[in-house]
Amino acid sequence: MTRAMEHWLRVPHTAFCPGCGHGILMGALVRACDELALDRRQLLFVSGIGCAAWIPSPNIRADTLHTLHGRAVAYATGAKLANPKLTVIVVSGDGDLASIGGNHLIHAARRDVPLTVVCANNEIYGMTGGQTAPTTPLGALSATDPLGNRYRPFDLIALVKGAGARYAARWPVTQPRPLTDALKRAITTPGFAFVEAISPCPTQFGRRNRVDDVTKLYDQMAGTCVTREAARALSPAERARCLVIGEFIDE
Amino acid sequence: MPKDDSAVKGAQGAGPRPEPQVLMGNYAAAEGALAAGCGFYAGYPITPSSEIMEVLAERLPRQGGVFVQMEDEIASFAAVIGASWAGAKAMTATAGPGLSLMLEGIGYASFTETPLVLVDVQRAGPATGQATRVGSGDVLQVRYGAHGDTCPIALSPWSVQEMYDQVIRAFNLAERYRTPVFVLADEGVGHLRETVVLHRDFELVARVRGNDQPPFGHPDPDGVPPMPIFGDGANLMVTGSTHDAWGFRKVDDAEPHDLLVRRINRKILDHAEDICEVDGRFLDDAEVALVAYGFSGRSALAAVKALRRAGVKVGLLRLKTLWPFPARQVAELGKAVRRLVVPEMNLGQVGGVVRQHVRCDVELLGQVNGEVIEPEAIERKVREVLP
Amino acid sequence: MSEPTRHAGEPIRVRFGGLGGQGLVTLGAVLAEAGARSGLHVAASQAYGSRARGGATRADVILASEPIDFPHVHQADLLLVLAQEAYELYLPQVAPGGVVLADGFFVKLEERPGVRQHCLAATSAAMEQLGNKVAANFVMLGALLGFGRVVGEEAVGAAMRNLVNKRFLEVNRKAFELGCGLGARLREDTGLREGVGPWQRS
Repeated sequence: MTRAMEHWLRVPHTAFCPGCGHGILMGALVRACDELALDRRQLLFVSGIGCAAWIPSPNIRADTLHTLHGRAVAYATGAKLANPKLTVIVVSGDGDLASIGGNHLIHAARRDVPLTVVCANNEIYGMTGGQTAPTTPLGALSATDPLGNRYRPFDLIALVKGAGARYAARWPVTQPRPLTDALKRAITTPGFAFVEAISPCPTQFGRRNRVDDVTKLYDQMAGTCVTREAARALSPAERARCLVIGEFIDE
Repeated sequence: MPKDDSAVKGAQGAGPRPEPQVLMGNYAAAEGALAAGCGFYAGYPITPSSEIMEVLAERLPRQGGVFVQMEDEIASFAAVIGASWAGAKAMTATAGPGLSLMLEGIGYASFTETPLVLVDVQRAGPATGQATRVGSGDVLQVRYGAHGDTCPIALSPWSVQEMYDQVIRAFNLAERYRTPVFVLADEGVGHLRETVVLHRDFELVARVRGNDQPPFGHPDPDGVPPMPIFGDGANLMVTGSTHDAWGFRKVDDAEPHDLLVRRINRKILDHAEDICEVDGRFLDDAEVALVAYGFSGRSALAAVKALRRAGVKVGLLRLKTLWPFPARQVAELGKAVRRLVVPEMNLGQVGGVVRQHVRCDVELLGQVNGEVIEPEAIERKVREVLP
Repeated sequence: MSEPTRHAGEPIRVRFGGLGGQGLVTLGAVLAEAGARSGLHVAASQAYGSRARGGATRADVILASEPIDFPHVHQADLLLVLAQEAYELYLPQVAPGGVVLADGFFVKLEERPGVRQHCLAATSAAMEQLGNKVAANFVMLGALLGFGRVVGEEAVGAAMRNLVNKRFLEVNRKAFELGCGLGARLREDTGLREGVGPWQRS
């Protein structure tokens, strides 16, 4: 992006930890908005509680609504229905959207409310200190699963697709170009659209899982990402350990 | 009903008055919302309030508004807050179990100074209790249910006419003070059918917008900042975290938190005289007075009239506003009479508050059997405690 | 037969008792609106269980010439009842000197001193003459009008047009007329002269 970031960003620095993927996602978001030439006056970002909720609030220079834990999608539904001219983008974390807010997520997808929901998935509760999330991989260590997570993680793409999302995509922050393009397609989808950004958390997930080197954590994460084509060749057990990336659209 | 017989007989006030009609209280509440310019309703079905959402589901879209049935009460309240910031006069309605779920949103709306209206048609609690039966056990929950210090406004209708009038007033108070306002009805009034005039003898308070002043802080004594809406170009920062006057999060600083919490309480309490309405009957020479609200006010009035016919000097102070509490009016009454009796459909929620404001004896008459209090029960209580 | 203890001009408290699904709340709403259209002060309420069908329910209406302070009914001057369960529940709440009109198809009357009780063939008439058992509720409302003349008949017609679902309006109107006849015959048989309650024909 050649444009000055000052147009889109309100503060000179963020509160994210060193190595956090959320800054890359924030960059992809504002690039998507810029490339779509969105009118900032008609742009509303809604977020919940957690690290990812701080991506738009207060960083992005537009209307921002920083809500309660889990409720971002429900607040966004009210704002969008009350003023359909607004472009409404929800940005929040996996714990916020898929655990405490899971019911709001699936019902918004079912209603096909024209929202773009961006889930920054770091596979853990970062802000509260590294507890297990509904997306934490099986066996991963956390503050509340010191012996390893006993339960399967949600496949959020399958969840929202099952609930009726028009558009869904999953990309890691290590692939910012396809991620940005996915955000642009989501924002221009005339209905409910969902983008999951895999965004590593060195401070909580990396440290607790003995991956102290940030680049190693990113490599490890990138290694679990496989394309839809590659995933077809895998056994169900192998696929369960992977994150299938790409766009998931009903033709 | 007692006060509005003039309305039944014909025109009052300016302009042609609509014909009186017989409506259920919940329908009248919906009519009040439509008359006040409500543009958004989100809700979840719950007895005994559902008629409000059913009427609005049909009528609101016809006058350009938006109706949405959400997945639960938490989401309903969240959607109402979102819609209010998007510029709509927004409301929801519920009963006790739904109110419990909405508490987090009530705290958020108070702290972010979001105008909205919630009609709570109280039923017999706690828990699921008796869904179709009456109670008024939510009185303290709307006052103190949200964590932290907040100062909500709550009105209490005693008739179908007041269901209409108070919903309109609630929208006006919400916009005037940028705060959630409750219409604390009960099943008795919500499901009562009586004559109502859907008049237009009121002015509507318009939201004060404006991008040039901070939307979350006002140095003048009024304490109510202007409220830009999404799309005004204000680059709003609305947050339920502690924030400064422009909305920047201040999660570690002592002073902004202190300032904000004090202001959102002060802006209501400083205007208690404007907000609090009471209705006094037979008080001039009363030795004993009833303090009542909601449907129990009707029972109390019937009891007062029966006792007066028997020569007992008893009067009634009916609280049309419950929160902020009409402390001055109750304190003055406490000085003028020898004893107060508070009949209510809970175990003394308002009676306890009355005791904080008076030195005279306060007798509680709490009833929690899912039935309205009969006038005879109040008569017996008054006779028991006569000085 | 003793003289009626109620006088024209006093408020009258009417209770419809039956089971959920018998359309009692609609009867209460129609009578209340008809009362208002007849120039009376009215209040109507209902008590019902959580079941949409079955279970004893009631719909109460007060008709008065003065504003109504306490709008609920705890003692009824007139009980119209369409189910045995409701009859047993609400008979003790009929005021001394009150009147019970019961649907003889469902209700077997029992002794209660000081209360005049009459059976009407509401459901039988609805089935035989209209082929519609559910319309028995409006037969009972008609019987109330024919017997007690508590509000104007035209006012009931207008209230029905406003409140009754159009799909069922015609059958309910016929049921109402049928009931008016039954009530009027009962009135003649019992020698009732005065109207019951505050409404007077002008």
